[in-house]
Amino acid sequence: MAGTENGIRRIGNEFHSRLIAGDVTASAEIAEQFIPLITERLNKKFPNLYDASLIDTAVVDAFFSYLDNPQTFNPEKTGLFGYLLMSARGDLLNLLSREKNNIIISLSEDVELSTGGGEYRIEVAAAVSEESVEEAIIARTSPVWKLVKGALSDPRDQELLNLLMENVRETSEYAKILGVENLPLEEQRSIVKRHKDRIKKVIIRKIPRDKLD
Amino acid sequence: MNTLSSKTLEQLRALIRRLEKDDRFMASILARYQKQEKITEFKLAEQLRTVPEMLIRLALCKSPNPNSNSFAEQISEISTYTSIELALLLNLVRQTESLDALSNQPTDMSAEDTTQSNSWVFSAARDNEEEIMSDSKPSSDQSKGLQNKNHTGHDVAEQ
Repeated sequence: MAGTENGIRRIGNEFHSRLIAGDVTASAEIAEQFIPLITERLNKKFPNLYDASLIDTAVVDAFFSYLDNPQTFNPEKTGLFGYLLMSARGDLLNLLSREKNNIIISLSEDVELSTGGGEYRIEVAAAVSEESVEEAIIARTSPVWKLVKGALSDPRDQELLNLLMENVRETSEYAKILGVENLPLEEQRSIVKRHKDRIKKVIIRKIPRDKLD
Repeated sequence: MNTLSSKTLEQLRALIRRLEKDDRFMASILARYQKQEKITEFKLAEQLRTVPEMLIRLALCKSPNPNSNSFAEQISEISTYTSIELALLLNLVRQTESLDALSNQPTDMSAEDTTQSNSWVFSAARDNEEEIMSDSKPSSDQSKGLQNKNHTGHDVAEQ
């Protein structure tokens, strides 16, 4: 793995040197080789974005910035791949912050997300990263997240919301919180769904729509 | 090139759309040429005897500098990298730059100034073309081994 990282770093820095030296094909090679790799990394890092195309946009933004002004990259500090990855990640966080003020996960498929005929998106924040907790901090400090938490005064509801945030889909996890884990599975599912829908309705009722759209 | 996913190709196209405003990139030359000729991307690919996917690669290259001593080398490198015939590529660059130079001339320029200026543009392009065509012949091997290879011979995807 370390060998791979070193190889990518070496290749990236060679690309950069060629670009700076005026090599006319270096820009195309960098984009062609690194865009798919960086997109893949970010997709792994942010698996639950409601709109995965934001990652594609962020990666393009990062490459455009670099190609526009490659001198911003200092090869003595880091590798080109790492630099572009961090730049794309920063652009993604900015996009998320700008557009929604929070990070969004898709709720489990059994939660209905429509109201009044229009699509409704509950914006609950969650970010899972094995390398950094920054996304989680941003998510948890989001104003919308605070609103959502504040809308649910019952600690049990907040625990259920936490599971939704973590994109937990197993009925058994919700059933434990609700104390119905000993009931037949079908009954558990029915009860869990009812509570999820209730939480959704509370959020819809208590939080201004413009905070969620 | 054809090993890239459709998603990646879309990202590259999005990047190219942003680079079209930047004269330092071939994206700008291609966009201007398409505008001059009023042709689609597919038609342009046809004219260059290539495929639209290879146009993406071409658009992401830096523009060769007609005023540079290494113009011939630069356009030859692009030709090799994109497997597009050198003469076709050269013609595209020359036409785009020449017509742009003409259309960008101040309207109050005298007839004599205009003639001199046009003459300079065309002779510069012609000189470069003659130099390139005499120095460099596109190899029939140009189209081979392009996939996933950079100029240093590395295969990033396999690292």
